[in-house]
Amino acid sequence: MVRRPSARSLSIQVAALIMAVAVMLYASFWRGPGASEAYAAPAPGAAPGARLAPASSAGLAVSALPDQPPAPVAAKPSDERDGGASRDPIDVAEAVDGGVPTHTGESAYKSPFAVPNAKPPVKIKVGMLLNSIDDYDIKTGRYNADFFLSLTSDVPMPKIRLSFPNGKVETTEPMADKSTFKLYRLRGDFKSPPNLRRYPFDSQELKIMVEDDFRGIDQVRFIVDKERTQLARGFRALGWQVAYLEARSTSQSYPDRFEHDDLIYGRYTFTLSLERYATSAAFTVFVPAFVIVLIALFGMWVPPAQMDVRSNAGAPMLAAAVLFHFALMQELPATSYLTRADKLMLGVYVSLALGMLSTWWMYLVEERNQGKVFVIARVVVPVLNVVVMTAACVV
Amino acid sequence: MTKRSSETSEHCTRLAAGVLLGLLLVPLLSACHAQARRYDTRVEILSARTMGGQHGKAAPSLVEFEMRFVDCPGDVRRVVRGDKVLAACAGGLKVGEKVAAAIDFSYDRERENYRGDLVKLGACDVKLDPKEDANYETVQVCRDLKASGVVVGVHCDKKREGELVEKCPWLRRL
Repeated sequence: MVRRPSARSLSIQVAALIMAVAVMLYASFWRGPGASEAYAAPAPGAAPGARLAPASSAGLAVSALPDQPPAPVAAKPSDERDGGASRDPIDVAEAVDGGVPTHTGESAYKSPFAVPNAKPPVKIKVGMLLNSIDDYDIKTGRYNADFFLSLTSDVPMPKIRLSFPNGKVETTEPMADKSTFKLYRLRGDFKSPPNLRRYPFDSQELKIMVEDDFRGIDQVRFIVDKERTQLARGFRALGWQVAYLEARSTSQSYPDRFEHDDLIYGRYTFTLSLERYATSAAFTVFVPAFVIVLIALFGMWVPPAQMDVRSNAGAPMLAAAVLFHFALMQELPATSYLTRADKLMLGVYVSLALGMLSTWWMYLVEERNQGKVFVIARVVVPVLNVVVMTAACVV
Repeated sequence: MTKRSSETSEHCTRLAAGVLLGLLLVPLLSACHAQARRYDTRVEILSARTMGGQHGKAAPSLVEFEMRFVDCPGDVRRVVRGDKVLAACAGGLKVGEKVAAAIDFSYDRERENYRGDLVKLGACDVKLDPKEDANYETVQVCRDLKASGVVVGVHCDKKREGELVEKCPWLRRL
């Protein structure tokens, strides 16, 4: 004899369905208070691209947004190449009709911060040895870096005031400070926006950007020292493996801050790419998800005669999936997209829902047809689960 | 229940059992590791330093070599520090010299990864102290980084995969 489900069983089913829908909506649309990208919002009042004054007399600059670093601070340089005796570029610029002083001669740049009729720029080879990366927080994209930075040139370089657009360092006191060679041991906090689309198989790029605080490419040009772009021996980033490192020298203009703001500035960028260990990622995210689906699938083998057992098979697994997904989300920042783990969990919810639907189907049909539904569900649901989970893993 | 549905049920039960068995076999298979073996290769001596020996009056007590594996793609270097036995045997190796080397490749169960130990350098047997911090290896395959057709920097792959481990299998770690 086939038994009809009890009221308690039905209420558990309904509660489980509500939870599943709530979690799916939660996972799909809610990703934190008001943030749409995987990056901390700028501090209130900080306008994109806003110029920031040096943080200290050592000439530190802190960016509000790494992708939109501040333009170099145009402080008054004291040029060591001419002993500081010459006037500052802005002092020789003329403001004929008032307003912004400009260089009117054959100078390549009109900006008052460019040196008129400047000598060829000093080419500075930049070397970087990264000692360690500590306290990497994937939620904020912040990390602490300890590194050596060397600056080498063939001719005496002007006074260099280092600035770090995507972070700040504790001190910029050099270990060696000669006119053609400078060496710094630096430690500071930096940030790079995490890309979590492939989480838990994600890789992150941790950058250290270096600029001269006020000199444009008319005075200094950074060149990557290929032989001295390295990681310290025994370099480790806990929980991550190093995929590659990269160093590039770029020059770029900034949005105009004033009339004739045409000076181009150089930047050195060191990038360390870290990948999460695939085995670890698979065991911590994928295996639990698949175990939840597999155990829920066992309910397909419970015959209609034990409808209560069958109907309750999915609920604990749904609760497990909800808790597991919630725990995963706690590790990540707000994103405007679904991570691979989110897609996997959506696959889990759909798989569990399919199992529940098959059980409800049995409730709805005549008792004599429940055997047919049982046989159909036992074949169709596992097949659909395979399709759904495969799609969740691949898409 | 009909005979057909009973057969289907039996079939599905077998299938489920097979899937479960397969899942159980995965960790067992992953516990299998490549057998230990020896690889012969060549290294170029980049630097050679002896230490101790009291200004040449006695035999040096330590020797340190920096070497580059010439048969491997990219830049694969190893710094090894040996005892007085190695110093006495290999002390005559000159910078720039290319010599034969042998690597014992095996799985280290304690560290749960593979390792490649230098066991022969030229004609000398090498037995390195595993607790010696001076020994290390750097592996990278670098290329110029271009933007708009202009070289703007350098890109160095640090992962041990592809052509690197095909030509130099002892560099594999996982």
